[in-house]
Amino acid sequence: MPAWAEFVYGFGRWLATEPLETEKWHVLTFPGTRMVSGMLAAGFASARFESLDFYSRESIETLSDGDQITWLDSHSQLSHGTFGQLTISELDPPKNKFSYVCSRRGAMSRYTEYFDKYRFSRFDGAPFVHARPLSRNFNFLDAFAPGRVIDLTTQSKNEICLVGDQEIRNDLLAQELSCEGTIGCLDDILRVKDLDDVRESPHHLSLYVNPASRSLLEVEADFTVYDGSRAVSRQRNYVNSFTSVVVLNRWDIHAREVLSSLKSFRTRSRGSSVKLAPTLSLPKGIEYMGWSIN
Amino acid sequence: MNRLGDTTHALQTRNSATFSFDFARQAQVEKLWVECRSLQLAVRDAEALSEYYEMFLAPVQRARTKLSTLPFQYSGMEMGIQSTIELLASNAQSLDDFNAIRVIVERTLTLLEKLIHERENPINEKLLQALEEGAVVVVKDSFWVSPLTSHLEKSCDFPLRVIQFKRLLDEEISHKMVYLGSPFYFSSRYRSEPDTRFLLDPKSALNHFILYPFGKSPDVDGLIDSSAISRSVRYSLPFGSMPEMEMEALRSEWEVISASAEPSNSETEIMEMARFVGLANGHHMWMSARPDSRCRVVVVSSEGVLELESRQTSELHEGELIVERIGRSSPILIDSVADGLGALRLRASQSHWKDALKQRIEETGNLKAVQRSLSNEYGVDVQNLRHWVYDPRSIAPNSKSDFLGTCRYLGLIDSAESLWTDLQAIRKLHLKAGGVILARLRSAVLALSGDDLVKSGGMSSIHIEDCGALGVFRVEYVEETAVLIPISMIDVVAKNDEAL
Repeated sequence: MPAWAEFVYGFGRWLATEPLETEKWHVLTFPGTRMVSGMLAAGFASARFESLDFYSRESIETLSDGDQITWLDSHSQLSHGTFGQLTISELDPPKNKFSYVCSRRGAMSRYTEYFDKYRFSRFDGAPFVHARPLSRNFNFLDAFAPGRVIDLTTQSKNEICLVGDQEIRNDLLAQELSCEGTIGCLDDILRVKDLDDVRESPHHLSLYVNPASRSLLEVEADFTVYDGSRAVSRQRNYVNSFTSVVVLNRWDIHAREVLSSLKSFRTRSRGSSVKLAPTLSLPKGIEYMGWSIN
Repeated sequence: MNRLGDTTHALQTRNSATFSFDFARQAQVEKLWVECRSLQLAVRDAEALSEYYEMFLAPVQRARTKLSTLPFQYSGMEMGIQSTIELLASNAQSLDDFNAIRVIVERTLTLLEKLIHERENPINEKLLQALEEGAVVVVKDSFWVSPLTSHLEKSCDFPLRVIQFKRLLDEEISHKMVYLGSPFYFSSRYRSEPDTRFLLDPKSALNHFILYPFGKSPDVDGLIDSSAISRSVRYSLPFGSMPEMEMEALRSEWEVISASAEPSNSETEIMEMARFVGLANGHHMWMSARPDSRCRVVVVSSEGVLELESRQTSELHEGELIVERIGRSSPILIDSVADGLGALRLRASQSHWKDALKQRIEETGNLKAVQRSLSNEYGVDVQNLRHWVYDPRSIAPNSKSDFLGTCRYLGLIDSAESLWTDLQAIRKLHLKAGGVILARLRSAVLALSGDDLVKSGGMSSIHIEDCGALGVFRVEYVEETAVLIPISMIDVVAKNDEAL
């Protein structure tokens, strides 16, 4: 990877390891910003993938009658249905069972030992009938996060929020990354909800917000990247996040104005400076500013 | 290049960028800078500031900017020295002999008269020396993109491009950029912070400026305080101390043309809101700014094929391609195509009714008296009466009762029903013609190739049945504000030479 990409990827990884105790803001400016936001988010995701808390699924006891679920079928694709109930056996040794309704095949039941084997998981997306792939590019993600790919892709999380214009969507779908001999795109790692309706896996990790969106619903995420001045000026008040990074292209005519507004926000909220981790060295031509709000 | 590579390339270019400066020298032009400064102070001291600004300072500043940034011959049409001399000499007549402004203007006239006989413009020589294959020439005023492209095509046998400074934003990184003017000239924005993005993050590793040595180089700061990316772009003046240039409201040549449009005082001329649009290859037009007005934009589809798109005129942007009829002699498209579809034989009825209304207004002496009679005695809704009479795009009233009312008033009641039938038929044919025009234009545009349009210097002629002379033009400039313009001037492409 080029030096700038190593830096932003490492920067994203560093942010993922910072304690989520205070709201933190970071600004990076570049002479061109293609792929920057996506690489940052991928760095953040990669550090999270290494945490057991992050990829372990909910236990069966947390599910209730009627909850939407997914599970792996015999072809390693995801099926959809609703949970029924857990029946505790009185036998010794116990052979507990749970019931569920498959959207395609109707009422079913299984022994609980299959709950983990087939990765039964809570689902909060739109119902579907035909089986869906785990990931559009399973081999790439498997090479990127070996041993964890099935658990990562059988559950949804609003972990990362990406706010930006159409170009950021093009960045996410560009097949320009390689890992262990496989080729992939940033969306294979970030699994952005509703980015593409072709072969998209149902479980997402990231959200995408269009700067022009007028939705009054607030978005929650652990980590948010605002790509461009329009993204941060339009959506800053509608996204709640512990860690926010603003990526600005210095050719953007509104970049100075937005930076000035962010500086005022920092002063008003009595933000204190955040220094880059000692392991990170800012490449020539990139600017950085960071602050935390206590 | 891939997308990761785009950012790498942008960073490498900005980190390795070099800046070079080539100073032009021409005694009269240098003196003109000094006189311009003196005139600026004299106009400031005078009482009729805005009048003197328009009469003297603006023409001198305009001449000085052209002479300091363009490579054309001093005696050529582009520089316009002769017309500036005539304008200043004529305006100076209005001042007393010993008026300070007149004295400076006369000294300026002497300079310009000497200059017009100079054969060599040093900017041209320096520009030709600096150019190489693939170089991009940058000018501040988009007006000069087309004339300069034509000028350089005659002198250079390798491909190069001329772009407007504002379009650097969308420009890919290139090997070399040659700026015609100083960093101060390019960065300055009247009553705004200087725009130094082209110095902070240049789009080329080699940035060459051809300039007269006036105006210090601007400070080039990063966006974040005390960041390491700030840049010092300094040059030493080779000819000793020169007077400093002040930030001034420099007008684009497009603004000079648009300001020359005279509003009509005639009662018979319909006025409408329109926006000035500068076009490539020495053309301009006034484009209707009515909310329902649309223009035809040529776009390149994702498959690389040219397509025609109907767009609200407020959504037109600089750099896009539009289809427009050329010259006032070309027929109004909708009329012409509708005539081809059968409206021609019905036009006599339309003229009969319109001419009768026109004649009655002339006989009565004024429009208002006719409006009163029609409204009070015949119950006609007269809101659009002026359009019915004087707007060639208006066929007749939409309401039959209003039409019959006008016929009773004009003594045409016996033929009213047959006239109404003809006018309704014309209206239907106009609607049909709208669809036919779009289809004909679409097939003509599909026959063009993107390469042809690029090579055409921003203008290609197309010929379509019943549509007269049409052109595909690159839009170089779109004025932000709309003004009232006579409808006879709207949606007609005119030549810049005529306006200047």
